[in-house]
Amino acid sequence: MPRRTKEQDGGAPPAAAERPAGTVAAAIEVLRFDPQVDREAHWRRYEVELPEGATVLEALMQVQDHQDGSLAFRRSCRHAICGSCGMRINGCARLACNTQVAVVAQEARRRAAQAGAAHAAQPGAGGADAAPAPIRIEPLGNMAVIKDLITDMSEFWQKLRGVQPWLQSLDEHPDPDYERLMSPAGYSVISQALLCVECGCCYSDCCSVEASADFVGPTALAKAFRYAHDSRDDQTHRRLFDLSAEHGIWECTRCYACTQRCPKHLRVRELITQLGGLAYDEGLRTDTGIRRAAAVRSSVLATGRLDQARMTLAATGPLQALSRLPGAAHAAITGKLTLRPPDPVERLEDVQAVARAVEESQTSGDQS
Amino acid sequence: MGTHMIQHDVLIVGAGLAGMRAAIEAAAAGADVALVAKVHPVRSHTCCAQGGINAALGDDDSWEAHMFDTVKGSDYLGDQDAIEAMCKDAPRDIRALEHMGCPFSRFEGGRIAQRPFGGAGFPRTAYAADISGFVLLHTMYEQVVRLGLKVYEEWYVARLVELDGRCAGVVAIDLQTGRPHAMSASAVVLATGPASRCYEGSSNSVDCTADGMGMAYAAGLPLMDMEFVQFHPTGLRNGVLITEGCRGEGGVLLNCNDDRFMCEYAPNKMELASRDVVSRAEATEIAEGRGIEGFIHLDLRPIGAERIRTNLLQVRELSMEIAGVDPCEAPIPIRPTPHYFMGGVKADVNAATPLPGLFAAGEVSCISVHGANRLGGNSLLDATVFGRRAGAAAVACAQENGRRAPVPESAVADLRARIEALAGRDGGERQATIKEELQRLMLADVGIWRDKEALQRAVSAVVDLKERYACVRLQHSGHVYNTDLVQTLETGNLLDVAHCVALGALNREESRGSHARTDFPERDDKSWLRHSLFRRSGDGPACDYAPVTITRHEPEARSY
Repeated sequence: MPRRTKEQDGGAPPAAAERPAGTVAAAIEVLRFDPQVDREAHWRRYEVELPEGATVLEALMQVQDHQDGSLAFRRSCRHAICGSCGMRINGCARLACNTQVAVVAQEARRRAAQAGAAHAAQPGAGGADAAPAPIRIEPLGNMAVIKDLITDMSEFWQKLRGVQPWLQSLDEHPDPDYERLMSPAGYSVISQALLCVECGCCYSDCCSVEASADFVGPTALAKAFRYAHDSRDDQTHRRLFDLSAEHGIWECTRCYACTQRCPKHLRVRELITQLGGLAYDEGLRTDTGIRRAAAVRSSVLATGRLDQARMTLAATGPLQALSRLPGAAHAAITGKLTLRPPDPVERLEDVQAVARAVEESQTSGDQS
Repeated sequence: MGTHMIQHDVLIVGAGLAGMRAAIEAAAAGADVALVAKVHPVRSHTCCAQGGINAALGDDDSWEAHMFDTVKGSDYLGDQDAIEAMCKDAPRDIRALEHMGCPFSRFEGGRIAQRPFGGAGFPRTAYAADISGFVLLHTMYEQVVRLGLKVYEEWYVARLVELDGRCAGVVAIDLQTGRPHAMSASAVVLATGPASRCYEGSSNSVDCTADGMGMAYAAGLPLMDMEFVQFHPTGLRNGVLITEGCRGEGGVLLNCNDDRFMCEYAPNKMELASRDVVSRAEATEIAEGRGIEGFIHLDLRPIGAERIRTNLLQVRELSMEIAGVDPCEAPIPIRPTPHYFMGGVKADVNAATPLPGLFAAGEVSCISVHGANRLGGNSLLDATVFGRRAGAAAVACAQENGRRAPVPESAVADLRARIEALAGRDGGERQATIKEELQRLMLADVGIWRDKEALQRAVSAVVDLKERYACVRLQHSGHVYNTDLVQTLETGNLLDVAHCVALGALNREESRGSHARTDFPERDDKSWLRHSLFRRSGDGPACDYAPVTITRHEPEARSY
């Protein structure tokens, strides 16, 4: 289908009345950077007109083909299975190929209206801008930009390789005429994690990676889950041992951005939770994070409250805890920390019942 | 240049299933192996294969039955020695994939599950839900990581280099720097995949631009059976596929009267006739006014919502995202979509091409296991079996010949000069205009139904486009990820390959498999039971023919 294109930068999109039926017009702004000529990134605006239902990827391809051949981005399959076209659209990491232009255009307008209303409420502010708010497109976060929307993913891949993502079995020479058996339930345990397309959307918006560049990241942990839970793999304990070290499972801050962003709807944070549970069950309890988790659990079960002083002690051990004394003293003086064990809450048995129900649902969740 | 020379025993161009399978085999034999690919390996087009991979794994199935189905599916144009090799190797090759860690869906007892597919007399298609190619691709990449193989990621291979009658290597552009490099190897494996991007509405990834076929053709190698282009029966409006597994699981095709029209065309196999038969039936229904706004309905409701959600999860999501239809509740509008090239670079059962030192495997090749029509589930198998064979043969070739003279610097200079000429040109059109015209004309005139008039029009239109392409210009001349440059080079390959397709279709005055001539509706074994060959000669292809290898099954009438 031939598509009309505005040749000029900044030209207004044709009014709805002039547009052929079944099309959608939008303005997009792309954060451009060419290391050969640019000192820093800058926004560039394009107007596009596309068939209804068109994706952001189609919009970018139209720009590349008919307006601006210098625009660079990765893309391949067009249907969310190759993982190439991860980018930030209106501030959130998404796949361009399964994000509809109409949806994010409306999102941009809504946000601009909200911002405009807030702005207008301030004394001396002007009215809302008449020009439609553009869809804003930027490269993935937590990665260096090479050109335009193309990022350097080498660290991302390095971390993925670091979890040894291949089947490991002491049975190195299975009979060539027989497959190893695996139950349908065994397949279904890993079926969700298998769907990870390694697009980097979760990694881009992961606040733990942002805070600690060495954190292995949600994608690698999803991959680790896939092998730790593969019934044919017999290196689960060693895998979990490695993942329980610094920058592993316990460096996740549980912000759930990974689950929110995943274009394949993986519940990534739940996979990480299950990995942590498995590590605990395997007796891998030396990391600060896992000891804190265990202390939270016993404190909640005992009193229904968080006993922060003892939690810290349990998590860090007495020596480390000593080094935290000045901070703790300050917190105690300002009333943020009570050293006395908390009194049990009323109806403690209800809290305990909830905790037990949660734990049971998680273990049975492994099977479903 | 002052850069270090790139040299390997075996260099594999393309890092999809066939390429990585070749690399793993070559590495296991102790060779120094490297892969070079224009995308990161897991981005390769293999990930789009949904349905599965065929092998006679069942105790009551046999490679002989698999072979017969494949020969019949090929409309007797497939070479039977190659088909025999593939079907015999299939069970062990699939189990080898399982041993590497590939997660297949399972039967209750724990064995690899298999589902029915089109044109097969037995439920022979092993699968992983509806992400079969995807998990195979990732399994291969994970083995490549385990083995620590060198991958030149995001390098575009622009040409093959021949020296003293052998393939000496390639010249490739590192896309991140824009610099061309000579890459020398004792043996080269081409595994660059499909070419269907010369058609509008193709199911293929945007990257499937006939690069390997184009560079082999440019190097004077023969392309074979290029007129045979498969239309997949169930594509969504934008070409994205809905797997044949849907029909294998019990989905049905309906016209505007809610009739299962396949009973008119293939009363025995119905929806599970081979793809050429089903696609033609759909095209006929639509042409005769029994379509639904240009589409046919694929109804999955007979399968049941629960099974759709476990075995066809991606299908459901794609249908909801692209067609706005939840297949648990309503039928999906689909239509035939340009999908697969049965033709490609001519190669033998060990993937050897006529140029010593050059091998080809996967969709880029024509080992002729698919003949005039490929069965669903046989392309992943083709890539697996002949990828492995190519890897083994390439190592043997490298060991036999040792290190040879490297790719000369002049080959790099030639490419650099070509790029500079493109960048410095004034006037002329951009590649996208030419490519879009090519795609439209190929779909309109070299589609499911073909006739002399349309094909003549197509051939002369392609010749015109090639003339315009001779003046193509770049809009951007930067070095870093110059996608304008890459797409311009790709378009040159698409034009050469489309020329062969149109000319081959014009020449072949019969109907066989995917090639349906309305002016020659019958199969003509007397004149046309032969392969077509296309070699570059001046500006266009020179055509020639080669006999078909028939061992077990004499051609007979084909119905489903």
